[in-house]
Amino acid sequence: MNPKDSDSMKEIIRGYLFENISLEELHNDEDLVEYGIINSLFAIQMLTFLEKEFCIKITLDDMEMDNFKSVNSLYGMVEAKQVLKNKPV
Amino acid sequence: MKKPAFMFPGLGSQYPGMGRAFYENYKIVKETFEEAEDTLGIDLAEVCFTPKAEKELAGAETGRLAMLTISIAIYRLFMEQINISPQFCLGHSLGSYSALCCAGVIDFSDMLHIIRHRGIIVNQVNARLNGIMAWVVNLDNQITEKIVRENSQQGMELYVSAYDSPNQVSISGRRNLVMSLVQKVEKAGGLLYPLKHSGPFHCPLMQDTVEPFRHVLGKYHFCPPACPVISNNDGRPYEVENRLVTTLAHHLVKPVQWQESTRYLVKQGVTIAVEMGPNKVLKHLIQSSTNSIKTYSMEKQKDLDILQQALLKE
Repeated sequence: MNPKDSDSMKEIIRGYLFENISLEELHNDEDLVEYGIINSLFAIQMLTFLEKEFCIKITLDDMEMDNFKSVNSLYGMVEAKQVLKNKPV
Repeated sequence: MKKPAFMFPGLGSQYPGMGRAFYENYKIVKETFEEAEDTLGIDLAEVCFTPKAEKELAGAETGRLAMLTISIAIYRLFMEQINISPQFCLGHSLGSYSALCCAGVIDFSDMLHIIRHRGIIVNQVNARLNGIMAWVVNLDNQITEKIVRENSQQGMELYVSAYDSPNQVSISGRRNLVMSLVQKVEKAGGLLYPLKHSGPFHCPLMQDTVEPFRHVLGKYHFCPPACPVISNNDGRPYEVENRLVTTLAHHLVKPVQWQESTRYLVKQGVTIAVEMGPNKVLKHLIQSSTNSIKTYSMEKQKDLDILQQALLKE
């Protein structure tokens, strides 16, 4: 996977959300959990997409709804995992 | 025109505010909630649509009744607005009861009573067990089965309790034992996700529910279905006239064969399926199992337009 900058990563996440849930518009900080847009079942569906798209591994510890609550928090989780993965051992 | 299959979701798909626009805009949906209230004495509209009732809705007891009610309401709305009858009905676990109800096997108020009793029986047995159900996702089912087999001990068994898609099953067992698999599953490349408000459903740990539930079912009269309803026990149509009571009672201790049901739909030439209820879980499961069924959901206001166009075009 080519390294992606934060904007294009966020666009990819937004693209998935628009494709899979009924949304008119979406701000990157909008709380998707509070509005009932994202719940744990959708998070489970989404994790497959995130793992494949960004070559990361999501574990049970990551399945906190805080990580899934907005585009920015999803991006934050993915980015933190990528940094961890790329760190020289 | 090709006839669709109607799919009905089970416990866990409910969320606060589900179906609110339908409830506010369509008399038939409101009347379905009123019918449930008259039957049960519970204001399910308040449970579904006021945020302070979130905990009650999430719990299994009221959650089951809310899922049945919203599913029937959505089905009735679909028939009123679009009026295309299904080739098959099917549901996931509790959703099977919505499917049977919509196929005309039993009326809605009787089904509410049955589901309430089923819930009481399941909760009583569950309270003694300290068990849980968990999803194992993104892992080949054969590998999950191997992990389950290797970690099952005599007197402390683990079971696969639902076959959802080629890479997703549910497992059931005592809480500690299920949770001890978290790292093993992650090491194998998957994820284990414990389901809140669950118990060790659909496995032999629930054996004590079978006879009491059979007794409850014995009090009701079941009619032949308007279309075949596919059973979770084996992914084949229920034999309503001869074996329905036994099949439903045994389903409490048998795994949900959703994947087998999907295969059956494909074999029968079904190419369109509509999920009648909240949350799109079944849509997702079908999509991860086969490319030959196009799936839609009937959940939000705009789905009515989408469905109208898509189904009348086919």
